[in-house]
Amino acid sequence: MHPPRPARFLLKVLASRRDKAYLGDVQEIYFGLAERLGDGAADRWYWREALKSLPRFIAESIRWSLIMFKNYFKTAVRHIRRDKGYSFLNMAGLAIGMACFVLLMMWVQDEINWDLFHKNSRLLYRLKSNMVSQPAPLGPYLKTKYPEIANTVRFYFSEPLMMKYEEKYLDEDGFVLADPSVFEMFTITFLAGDPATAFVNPDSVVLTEDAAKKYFGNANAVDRVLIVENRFPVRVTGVVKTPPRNSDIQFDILGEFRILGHFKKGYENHWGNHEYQTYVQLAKGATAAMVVPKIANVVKDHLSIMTTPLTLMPLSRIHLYEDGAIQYVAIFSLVALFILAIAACNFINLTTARSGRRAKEIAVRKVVGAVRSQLVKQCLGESVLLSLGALLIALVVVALVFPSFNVLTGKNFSLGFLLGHGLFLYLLGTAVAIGIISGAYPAFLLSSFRPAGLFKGGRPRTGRLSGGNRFRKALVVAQFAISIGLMISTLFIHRQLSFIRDFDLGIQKENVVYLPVKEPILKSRDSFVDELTSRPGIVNVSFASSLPSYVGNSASGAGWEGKDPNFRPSWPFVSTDDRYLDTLGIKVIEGSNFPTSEETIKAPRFIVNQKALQEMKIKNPIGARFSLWGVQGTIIGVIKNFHYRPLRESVQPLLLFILPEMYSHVLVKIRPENGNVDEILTRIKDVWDRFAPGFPFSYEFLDASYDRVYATERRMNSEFKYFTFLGIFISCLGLVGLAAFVAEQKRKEISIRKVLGASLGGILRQINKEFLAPILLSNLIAWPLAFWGMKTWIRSYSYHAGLSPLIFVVAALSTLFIALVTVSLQSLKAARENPVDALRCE
Amino acid sequence: MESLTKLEELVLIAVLKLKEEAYGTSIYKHILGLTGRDVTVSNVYFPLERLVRKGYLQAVQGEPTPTRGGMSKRYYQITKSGLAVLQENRALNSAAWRGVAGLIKRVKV
Repeated sequence: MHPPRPARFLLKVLASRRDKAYLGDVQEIYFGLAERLGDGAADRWYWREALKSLPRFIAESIRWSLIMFKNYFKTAVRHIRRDKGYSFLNMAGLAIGMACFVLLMMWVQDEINWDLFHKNSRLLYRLKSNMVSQPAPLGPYLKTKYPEIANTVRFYFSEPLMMKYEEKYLDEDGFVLADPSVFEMFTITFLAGDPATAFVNPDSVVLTEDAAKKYFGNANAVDRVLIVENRFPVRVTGVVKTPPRNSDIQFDILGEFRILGHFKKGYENHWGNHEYQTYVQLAKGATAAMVVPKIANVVKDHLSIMTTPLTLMPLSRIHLYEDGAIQYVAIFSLVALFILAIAACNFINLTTARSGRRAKEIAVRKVVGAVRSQLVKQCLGESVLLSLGALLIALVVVALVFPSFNVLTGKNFSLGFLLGHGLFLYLLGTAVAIGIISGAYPAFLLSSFRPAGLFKGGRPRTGRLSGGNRFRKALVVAQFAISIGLMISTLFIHRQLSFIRDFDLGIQKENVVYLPVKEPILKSRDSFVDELTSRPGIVNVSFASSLPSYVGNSASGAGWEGKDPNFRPSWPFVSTDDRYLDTLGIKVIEGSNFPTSEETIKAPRFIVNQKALQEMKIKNPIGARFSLWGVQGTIIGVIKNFHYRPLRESVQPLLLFILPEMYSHVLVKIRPENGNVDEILTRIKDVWDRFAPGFPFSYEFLDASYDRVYATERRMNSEFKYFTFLGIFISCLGLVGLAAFVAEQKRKEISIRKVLGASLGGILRQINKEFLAPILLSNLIAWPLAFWGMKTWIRSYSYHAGLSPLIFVVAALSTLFIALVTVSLQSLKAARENPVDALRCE
Repeated sequence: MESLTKLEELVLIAVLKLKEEAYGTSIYKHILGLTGRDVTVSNVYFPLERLVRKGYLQAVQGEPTPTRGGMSKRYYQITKSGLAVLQENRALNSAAWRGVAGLIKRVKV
């Protein structure tokens, strides 16, 4: 015979904490009723009692928890105010950590949402073979031939062009051509004009709002006419929103695809020229797996030579996997978590260290009847409060550093971004979680103490305390291990970058200026070169189809005597002239340079690099017959390999020949004396203006173009530097707090030692010793992890600096130094105190 | 004068009447006998606690018994100020009720 279990439970939960007498009465009445009227009546009575009391009890318990909350809040605020320095350290560390986390996660969020703003993003794919560009006829062919493919669009990303509006000339490096279907497939918002009719007429372009402002100021842009390269007019039919920065489809001017006819004749039927990024939109219900096998060999069938089969790359994966952003997303997510972990360790550490001070408060609370769960709640509440405060500070910090962070990352974040992506809710959750996690340990530790012990010793039993010390030291070890790991990584990335910078690429890239090729210059290129080289300070001039910092074009279909018919090379090439090798200081190993350009054009000759020769597998290259694109010629020379791709890639074959129509850059080698670079540039400009009147002069140094090739690495390097610094800084904040705590705990010990004659140095040594071991231990943990991490990263480079042990030693010594200075500054205060002050209180 | 709610008044009177035997169960039974079914034990306890807080009652810890699941009784005793407030309430009540009996018979609604 028992009261019904659920009802009993209900009453117990609601009432037991406060009123045992009440429960006793209920029990007594229940048994009385059961005896007189039977179990059924007694159970009914019990249920009625429980259910009817429910609202009152709930109201009551809410009232009490509010009252207690007010009390907790008050004590929390009092504690924060009483130990201002400590609370500041605690909150600042967490706030900085959170700010770093927010910034890094924003970066990551931005990267993983790349191009996902397009409404059709799930249906869009880019065609991919061994390269991302496809022949022009492919897109239209796929669309008419396969019902699974709902739509296709071709993009042509033009070289920089010169635009003219009225009397104004402007360089345009964002000129992109696309089929009219682009407006149906991609999300492009029109501010003026109509997407359905914008590309109906040939020679139509739409401008982004930024471009419209650049060309026409605030005037209406629609129906205005721009002249391209002084050759043909285009009409503006619309103004669209500037594409968001996190998109691969970037343009200032988007032109109708047929404009290409002004540059290339017969492109519509040329299956051999891979120059156009082509996207397809699958029909509803079609999947990539269905479509790929059908289209795999389309290009091959048209070209009747072997090509890499076509596949589809989902739009959502292009940026992460094709552009390789996933690597940085992974690295930066990891760094974000690490920094947050450091900050959380700090917070837990400082909170726990201080908890001893509150032993008396806890004891009093226990004596007046607080139960353990109340104390736990109080501690947790306090740390959640602190961590929410830290979040608030972090957001303020984030708002303040937005501009610099944007410069650092080359992104364009705003607070709107933070709120727009639900990132904020996520952060709120993180802050509460950190508060709970970091409050949990002190909460359970403290609430477990026995009041008598707390009163007597003034602090918890020693067994417990030393346990807490071990825990704190473990946290310090973890913190410093992460900091050291970050430091090693930073040093190593830095080393790799300077290794790349100083790497002998096999060409002389210094003192080379490059200019774009314009039509009038192409026409009279010989006299242009003669004129330039006649000026003082200008050593050599050469034309080329791409910059030596990045040769992107490849040619397939090369043939030579004795070639294995199954070998289908696709080799990067540069169309250049007879002065190329001299201008860049490239060494000829076998044979010779081109004779004069005219002669070479009459009787085509080719130069290959060592790597190409190796792949050709022929003994006597010089004079060997060689053909490309149906042109028969001979090999005249073999040059030493030089690096024309980022050092991530190993040296590939290279083909040089002379085909002036393909020239896109003029390389000018200068020899500045006593820093008169500006003078020489003025001379170049003079010649330019004579040969290409009406074309604005623009130039750049070749070195700078290398910097662009390594932009991601450079950016990563500087980001790493800041975040490592902050990581170490936060760890030190924690150390300051901890050292202060240890110094205070040992106040009496220090005083007694001093009375007994210990020197200041001796005392400092003694306190420092306590921190020495954990930091050495963190080094031991961090080294192998950092070593492994860097080994993984470096694998993506074909050429890299070794993992010098010096880096590890430097990281170890500097963390040790920083830590000891931090601790010493704290313990110095304690050590210099007059012993009397510490000892007399007893 | 501090005004009492009806329930507080009833509880206070019950404690007075029950003398040494005034604890939760007996008070509950007493009030149940007066009012019928619509009372719960917790209904009695809230006014009891309030009266203790106001100083009209004083609680004394009693002995635990087996039928109570080992939980001790809490006895209540009326205090001086409790007696005084009861006195006042009684005076107020009888003043308020004076002549009402006749009215109830006569007035038609």
